[in-house]
Amino acid sequence: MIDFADVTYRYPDGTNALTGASVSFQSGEITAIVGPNGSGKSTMARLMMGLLLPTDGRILVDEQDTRTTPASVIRRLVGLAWQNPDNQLVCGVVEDDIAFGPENLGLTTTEIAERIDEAEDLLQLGDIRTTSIHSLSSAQKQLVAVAGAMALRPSYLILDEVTARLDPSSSHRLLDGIRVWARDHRSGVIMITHHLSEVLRADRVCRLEALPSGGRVAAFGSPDEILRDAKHDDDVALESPLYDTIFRLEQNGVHLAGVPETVDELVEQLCR
Amino acid sequence: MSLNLEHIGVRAGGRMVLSDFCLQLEEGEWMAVVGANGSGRSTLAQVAAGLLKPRRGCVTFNGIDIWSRDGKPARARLGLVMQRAEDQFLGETVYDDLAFGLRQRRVAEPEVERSVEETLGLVGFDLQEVRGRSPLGFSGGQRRRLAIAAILVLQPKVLILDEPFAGLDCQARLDMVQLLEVLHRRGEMTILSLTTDLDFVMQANRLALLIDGKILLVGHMPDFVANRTLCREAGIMLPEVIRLALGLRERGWTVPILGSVGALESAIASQWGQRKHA
Repeated sequence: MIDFADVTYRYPDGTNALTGASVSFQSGEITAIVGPNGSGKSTMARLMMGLLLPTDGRILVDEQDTRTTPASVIRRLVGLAWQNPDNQLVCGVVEDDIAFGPENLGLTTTEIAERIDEAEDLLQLGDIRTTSIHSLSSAQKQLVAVAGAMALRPSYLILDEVTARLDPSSSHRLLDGIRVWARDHRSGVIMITHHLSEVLRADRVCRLEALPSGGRVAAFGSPDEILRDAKHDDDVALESPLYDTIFRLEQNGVHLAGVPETVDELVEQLCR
Repeated sequence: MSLNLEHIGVRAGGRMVLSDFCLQLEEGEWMAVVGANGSGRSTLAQVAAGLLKPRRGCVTFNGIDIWSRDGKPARARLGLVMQRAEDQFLGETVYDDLAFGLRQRRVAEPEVERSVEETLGLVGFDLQEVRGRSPLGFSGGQRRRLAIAAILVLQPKVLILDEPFAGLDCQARLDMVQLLEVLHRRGEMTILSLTTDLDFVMQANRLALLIDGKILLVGHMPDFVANRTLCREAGIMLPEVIRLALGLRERGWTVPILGSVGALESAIASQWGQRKHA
């Protein structure tokens, strides 16, 4: 568990990025973090990794306080993949790139091969295994960057808007792979996202809001609770105009059975 | 007049990225080009901005070939905001970053300060508040606007934006649309925006569809709706609300396809009520 207890992070210039956050992220679960730009989503991710230390309050990663535990220890527990894969791919060929992290952990060749196989299998990268990184599309590069982070087998994996440049089918492939990976290794996954489909696939959702005094945790719960309880459609800050429409239809008395993920699902639900 | 791309051909990696490509931008027009990944979108942006000299064809600005001997001043009036422009800050402070290009052009410092202040105001910042702050200390949407300011401060006549909405949340996208509308309405700016989808392009004067390095359709949203099979094959989705209206029509609902979102929503709400009671 990553446990935030009344965590505030203040920039050196005195402005708050995050104020009084108390939430926990469980192993084996996928938690989505949503909220508008400036609500402290990335700050929260950096705090989990020990890249930033709380100004007030404390964060425990598997019972270890990020303020007193060496950063190298926290970094092994908490991994990160972010958008913009060009900044995180280091080798010439796909399988070498995925192997780079595990090799630096000093694993045996057999263990490394097993981890590459697993990541490639889960994200269905087989046909590009020996392809040069430079000839991949940006979507493929993004999948490889995530595979590299998975191969390190952190106890918690943070995905910072990794599906921003993926089309729906690659994005589903990635999320399905991540879910199996989280279950098999009892790892926690924390996804920062603006996508409705990812929020609906998460086990829990942490909604942040941007106040003049800084970012704040506004709500924590199941995807359905969070999406239905938001007072204003901008609160969840999803990229999808569809969610805005669903939200306003509900306010106009159209009660749907669930939150539809696609336009086709919404049409189905309306016609039911 | 204004920016004219004639029979452009660009070759890269053994294939034609743009082939026999023509596009004409009228002065003061906002054109939105929509193209899937790999359609040649970013190459087109670079050619239009005078950063990439095409192998074939000709780019003219107000009648002057921008690659001719007298073309340099014309090229200086074309401004490109690249993909993820916020990763390309040059100055340590907001002020230095915006002043960079002007100082390169040997503009006197009082004039630099005046231009920087005016441009920051245009994108919604107060110079005195942000002057000494690092551009990296802002949120994603704010950084994107600062990056656009760094181009605007050079007073381009044509502003070319590659994927201006990528990676921004819904509110920041709406803010960006609003900023582009303001720039456009001030009248002096011709805008060419390039995106991968048809969301957030409603305010443009004309839309163009880019497929495999060729423009296959120039028109307005109804033309794209009429050619939705072509769009789908090119990997371009119609806006979600239009797809919703089309889907409901197929199921016998009477809903407007090209009206406002509000009109669609109230049509759905009233017919949903009637259907429940029926």
